[in-house]
Amino acid sequence: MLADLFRAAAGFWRFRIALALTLCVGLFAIIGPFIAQHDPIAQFTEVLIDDKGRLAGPFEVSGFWLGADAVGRDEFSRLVHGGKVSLIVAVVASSIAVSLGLLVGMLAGYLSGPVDSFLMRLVDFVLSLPFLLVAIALNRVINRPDMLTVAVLLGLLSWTSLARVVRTKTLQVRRCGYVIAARALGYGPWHIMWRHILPNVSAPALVLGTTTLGNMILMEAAMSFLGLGVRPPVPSWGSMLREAQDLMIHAPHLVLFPGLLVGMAVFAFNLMGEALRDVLDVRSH
Amino acid sequence: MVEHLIRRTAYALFIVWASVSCVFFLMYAVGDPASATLGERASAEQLASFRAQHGLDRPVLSQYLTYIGVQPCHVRAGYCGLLQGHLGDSLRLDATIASVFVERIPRTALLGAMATTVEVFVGVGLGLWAGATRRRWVDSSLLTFAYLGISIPTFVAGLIALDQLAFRLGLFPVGGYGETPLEHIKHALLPSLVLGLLGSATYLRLVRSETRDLLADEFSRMLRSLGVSQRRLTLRYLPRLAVLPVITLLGLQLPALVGGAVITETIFGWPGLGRLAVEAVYNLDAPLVLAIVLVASVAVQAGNLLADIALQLLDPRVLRS
Repeated sequence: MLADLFRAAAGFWRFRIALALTLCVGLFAIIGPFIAQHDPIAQFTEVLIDDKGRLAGPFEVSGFWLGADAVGRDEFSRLVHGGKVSLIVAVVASSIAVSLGLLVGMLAGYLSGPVDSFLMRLVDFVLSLPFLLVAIALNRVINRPDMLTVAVLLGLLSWTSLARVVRTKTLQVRRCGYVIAARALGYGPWHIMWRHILPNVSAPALVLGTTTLGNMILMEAAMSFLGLGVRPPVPSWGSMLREAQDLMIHAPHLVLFPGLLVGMAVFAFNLMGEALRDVLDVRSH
Repeated sequence: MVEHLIRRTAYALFIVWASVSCVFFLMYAVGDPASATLGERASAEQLASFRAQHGLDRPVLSQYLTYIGVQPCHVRAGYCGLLQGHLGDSLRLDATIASVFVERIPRTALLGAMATTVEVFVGVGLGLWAGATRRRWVDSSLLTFAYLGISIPTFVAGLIALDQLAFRLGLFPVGGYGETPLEHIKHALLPSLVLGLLGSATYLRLVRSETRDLLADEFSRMLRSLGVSQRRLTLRYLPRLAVLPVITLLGLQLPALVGGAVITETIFGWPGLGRLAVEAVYNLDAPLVLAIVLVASVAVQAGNLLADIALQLLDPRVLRS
């Protein structure tokens, strides 16, 4: 099925651009850590900071391609390892969000009645929670969180829009002949949801899931930027921006590199989502 | 209509109550406000007297009931009596929360209002242009702008704008809030431009596709056949219809605005509610956090409700259905 999708998609130029960009970002974060020569956490003060306290810029010291970060660590190593962290958080969080969204949406749409109204109330409630505030508060519960905690937290807070879309689609599908026939044959709700409804809602789930990937990268960066994300000194693009913030005037490239990468990653996933929307012909609202 | 409004309001109140209760128990689980406020070195007696003074020594359920205002309240400070209209005192700031809010809310509201104004005007304007134009390159460059707006994080654009426009070129003041009302607006200019331009992307895309649909609609064809020029159609007749989804979106965007305030205010050093929220959570100032969640959640629900009402007034089709 994936191969068919790919073949159908290859004809769309938007998909090709999106794929190229996504591959760039993905390869940067996946292969980069093998290319980077230095420990992203180790400080190379003697090599990267001179007597007057000036940080080495890009291409000034051989072996340190992008120079020093704010405290004399290898900027390139931190960028690629930060990318790895951002991507892992985004993938785990989106997987949680998509699974929850699918489950809640299908349950609400197929079972309807009290289950439906309870679940939709839950959606409204989660949607109305101030996202960042809750993230901050939860972060205090789990003192100094690691990568997975941040990912789970983000996933648990961002399944709602998918649940709504899946529910609407499920409501349409459950009136179809084959669903009624399956019910008449005595199949239970789980079987029907798995075999007959899931294939129908997987297209919007794929589209929204891809956009969610971009959003999760953005949210992780925002949390780390506020000092609430992955625990330092582990690098992440957001925390690198936070560290570079005070050096903005002397070393603007330290803001530019992680900033551009976050922007590019989010752009790539957004474009990918849009391209898949074209390919799969999912209506936007 | 009235019945619908009453039902919507009741539901909104329910959601507000649920959010506040959820955060109440969350804050209770987060940690001990007494040691967070008094510091690591406070003695056991100091901690105990602080807890007694703020009513933190009672069981959590009883604290919750007094906070909501169902159970009468015996302590002077801390939190109690929400239903009676008391927000309580901040544990750390040594002031009533109401007095803190009187100072902070207008600031966040000013920034939010200015940013939203830029957002809507730029977004709707460019959206109409992109939707109505026959030049492909105009449409695709506007769409590219929209993609960039959605992808670039506020804190990246904000930092770069601050460095280039405020620090290097001196076009805007560098961060802060200023003294007089005129200075407030001047200081709010750069943050609201950055926020507004990035945020306009969402509106642009929405209005663009809405305009496309409307132009393909029978109503446009009829107006054209009556001799209305394309230009007059897009400038005079389409805006009123194309902004209908914008109103719903405005209501839905409020949580993002409230949540985004945390980041914006941190970057631009704007002393509003968002920064207060971060500090309050860091200090485990539970009454203050709860009050901020309450205000944010009321604002969000009120926004949705207002959008709902505005839509009914502007679009007779909604009323009929």
